[in-house]
Amino acid sequence: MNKVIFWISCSLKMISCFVLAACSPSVATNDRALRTESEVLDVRVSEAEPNKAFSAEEISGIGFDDKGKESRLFLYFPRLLRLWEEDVIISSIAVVELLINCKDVLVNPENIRLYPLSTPWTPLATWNSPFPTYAGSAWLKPGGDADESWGAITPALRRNPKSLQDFELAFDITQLVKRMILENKPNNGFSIQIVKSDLNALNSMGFFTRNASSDVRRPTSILTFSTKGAVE
Amino acid sequence: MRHLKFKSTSLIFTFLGLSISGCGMSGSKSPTLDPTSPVTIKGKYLDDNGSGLPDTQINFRNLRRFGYVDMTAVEHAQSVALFLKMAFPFFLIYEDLFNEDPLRVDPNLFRYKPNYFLTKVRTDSQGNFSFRVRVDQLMRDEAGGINIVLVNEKYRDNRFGKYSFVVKKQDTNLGELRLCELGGIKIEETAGSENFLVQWTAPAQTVSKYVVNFAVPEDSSLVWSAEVAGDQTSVTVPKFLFESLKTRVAIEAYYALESEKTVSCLTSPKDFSLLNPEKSLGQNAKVTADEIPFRLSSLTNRKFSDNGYLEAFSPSRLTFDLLEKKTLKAVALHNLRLGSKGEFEIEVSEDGISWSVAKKAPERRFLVETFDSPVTTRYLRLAFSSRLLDLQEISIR
Repeated sequence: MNKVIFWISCSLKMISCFVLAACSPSVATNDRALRTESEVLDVRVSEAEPNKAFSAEEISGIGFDDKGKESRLFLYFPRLLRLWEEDVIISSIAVVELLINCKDVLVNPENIRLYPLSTPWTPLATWNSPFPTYAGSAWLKPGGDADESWGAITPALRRNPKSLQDFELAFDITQLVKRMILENKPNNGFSIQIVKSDLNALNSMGFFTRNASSDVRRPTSILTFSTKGAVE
Repeated sequence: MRHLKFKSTSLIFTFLGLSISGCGMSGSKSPTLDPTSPVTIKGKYLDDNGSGLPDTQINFRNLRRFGYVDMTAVEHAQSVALFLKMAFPFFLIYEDLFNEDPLRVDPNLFRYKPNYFLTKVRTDSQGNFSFRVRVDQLMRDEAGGINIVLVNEKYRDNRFGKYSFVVKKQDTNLGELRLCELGGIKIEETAGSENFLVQWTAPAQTVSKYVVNFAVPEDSSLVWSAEVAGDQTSVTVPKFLFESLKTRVAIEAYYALESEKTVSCLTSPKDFSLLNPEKSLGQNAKVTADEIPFRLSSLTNRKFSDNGYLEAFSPSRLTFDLLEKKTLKAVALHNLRLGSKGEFEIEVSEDGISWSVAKKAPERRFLVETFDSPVTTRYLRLAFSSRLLDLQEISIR
């Protein structure tokens, strides 16, 4: 089993490099950001089509369809930990955020949950498998191995400063990244899921992916100053 | 190898977060000074007994909001970066800022993050300190003002003294600042009473006003603030604002309140939970806002969080379905921010269709509005004079 995971992990890195080289988006800018990391892999997986990877969409619909079948979005920033380079001093005023854009927010953001993934995956991942071309590859749990022991992260909401018609969901992943570094935990990316609730206008909504035509709409991770505690 | 170092500066941020600068200096215009001129800023820190506070680090912060350096007044950003590296070499995050191409931001202005920790000095044996920097090493706000905050590094019992001022001339003497001892903050509450009392003792120095700040202990984010005159030593606070939540309170005593200079001291904070709390009637209410497609849960969940929903959608009306008819005496708004301030209306309805105005009141950041007589209603609507930018929580009695 360990060999399989190792092999998948190596494959993931190789495929990541290939995909990033082939379609690396240009660096998005954000005025608040001290550092920006915009190289990202993403794929939507769907319970309705459990053996299909949806990696070419500009907008991925996440949540539940009319039949109650769920879709999730996986995101992987290969260079996420490079936001905190060697010798950078991390003080309590710095935060790492994962930014995802959408046209409209139909789900109460408290029901948009981000979890780290505990198993490596590839851009070909499906609801059933992290690497379906490899026979026998399967998630421990269909829909991706979200590590819920870390707790769910819900986003803050704001207008995208570079594209004011869009909304930006900002997930504060500072504590996750700190633990990844301090405890040498692997960065296997993240799963974004919707929770059904009567607070939601709909139990699904669309998110821009790395295939978005505009740089400023693509998922990005940033190192920024916290605004909490700033003098006003 | 990665270095993870957590600096004590977080405490300063925490306490500054608790404070409200009351003089509204943002936007002040400084006179045009020669960019190469030296600027000297002097002052003196005293302990609460009036003796000089020796060998104490004083932190120099530039601006309370985003600031700008005029690129025409600075040869290039690297010269400022060099200064910063020399003045504060261990804060290497600065390098990233200066590695940005300033022309990408604006051809003439280079943008900085708010509340920048620019440099520091230590007081001498008498408590005196002196900063000497060049005008073009200072940053200006959007209106051209050079706003500066000086605050001492953590002192025993977490007491801080703060100068907030605008640079108006080349030599600025801020005078003395005395750390205050308010005898410890006392919380007095009695069962059956709708309010509790926060009490302290007056310091030796004359105080113009006190600002009593309440915060969430976890991150010291401000959830309520009350202001009283300098001759008072207590403030009455309604219990339904905090229920039984653990709350942090700290007091800022303002000595000087000039238009462009405030001198104040902050006490060490005290955490408390009310023993005889009063529940807010707003819990479990269904909250909707014009222009927001989803229902809000954040305004009545007692987390006092700012999730950015209101600023992102900028609604001007909030509607609360209390799920059943309730008799209301008062409404409290925590951390109200609007595009512009005016008067807001509290409207009530029995069916959610026909509305009547129950109260009109000025819009303030923290407010409690008591109805002239109790109002029985199922639906409550707040209609603001302009678009909402923030409102962290609503408490209902």
